[in-house]
Amino acid sequence: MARVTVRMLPGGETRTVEAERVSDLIRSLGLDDESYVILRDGKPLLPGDRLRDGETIVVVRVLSGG
Amino acid sequence: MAKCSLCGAPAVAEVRYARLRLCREHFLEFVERKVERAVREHHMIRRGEKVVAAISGGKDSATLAGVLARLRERLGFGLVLAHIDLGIGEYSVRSRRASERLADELGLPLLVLSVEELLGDGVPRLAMKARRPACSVCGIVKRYLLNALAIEARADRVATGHNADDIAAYALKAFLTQNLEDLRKQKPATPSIEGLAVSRVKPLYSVYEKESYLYALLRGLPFYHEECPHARLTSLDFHLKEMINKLESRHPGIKLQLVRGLARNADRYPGEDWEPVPCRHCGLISYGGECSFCRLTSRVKGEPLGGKVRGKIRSLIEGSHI
Ligand SMILES: [Zn+2]
Ligand SMILES: [Zn+2]
Repeated sequence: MARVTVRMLPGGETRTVEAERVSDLIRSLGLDDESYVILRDGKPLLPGDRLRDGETIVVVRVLSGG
Repeated sequence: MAKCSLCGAPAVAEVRYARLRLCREHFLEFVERKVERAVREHHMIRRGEKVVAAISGGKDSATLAGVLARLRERLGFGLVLAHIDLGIGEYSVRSRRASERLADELGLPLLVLSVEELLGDGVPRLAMKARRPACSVCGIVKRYLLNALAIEARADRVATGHNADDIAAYALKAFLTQNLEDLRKQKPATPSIEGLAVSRVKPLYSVYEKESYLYALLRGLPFYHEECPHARLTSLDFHLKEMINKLESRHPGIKLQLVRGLARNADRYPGEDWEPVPCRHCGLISYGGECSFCRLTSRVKGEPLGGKVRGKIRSLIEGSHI
């Protein structure tokens, strides 16, 4: 299990999450895969990718509001 | 690390409805082909035409301009960018800057129309004076200025960055509220009406919002990813987008089926009974003799400003390379 810092965009709110893979992270944040992009160092990750302990991950909501 | 289904390089995107994982190069190509197919199928742009792409500074604008810039030689059309500075504080300052950087990056001419310069007030103050919601005033002003710009620049098309998620949410809302005329408005291409209105096209209508974000990001195009301060995440439109994406997660491809189906069927929904006629103040499209922009400015500024604004836009165009 990796403990990662998650930064949510837009907005910039941060929180800490424990998850093994990107798909677990998305699920534990209660998000869906279609509306969010997960970035490590500005590069998109796929649901199956493993997270690294102590890293910072950016979660971008790609949907714009109405 | 997942591999690209086509070449084996590291994958950066998964396209579940097509059962593909793609590397950067193949993902960019995938989106470009999707847009090219849409443009050809719905005759959005013909050889020799002049296209004005409306850009807000966000991801969809970046993707729209980026893809059209690549398609323009193969399809043989001219392309210029237009940005409307809405005068919504810091949000508009940054959006405008992103639009200017995008135009620079792509080497395309850009014309900026400032609502504050043209009307003396930005959108929030216009809305306050009109006692109307900012988003509805914004819609009227943007639609008018883009059409006026395209008419004055003798353009054949105005292209906007509406993506599949925008259209799916709009369509569902039209169905839920039974405003079936709104379904007809979701056509990927509307025809020009000589002297009154320039054809509007939506080249990204089949591109998912996530794909649009990824395209702009992976191509390194400049864009500003913040929410307009007037947007509401509690709005029906936003909830519908979320709902459709939950459905899409469980049934990959359902969103694509909806927008492609609607593109084919839009004409089968009822249209407005009104015939478009020239606005008696400014001469552009109206239903009933006075356009919504002239009506709005009469109310807020004491006189219909369509004609004056058209004149100002004409001189801006004459002083530019557009
Ligand atoms: Zn590849
Ligand atoms: Zn008018």
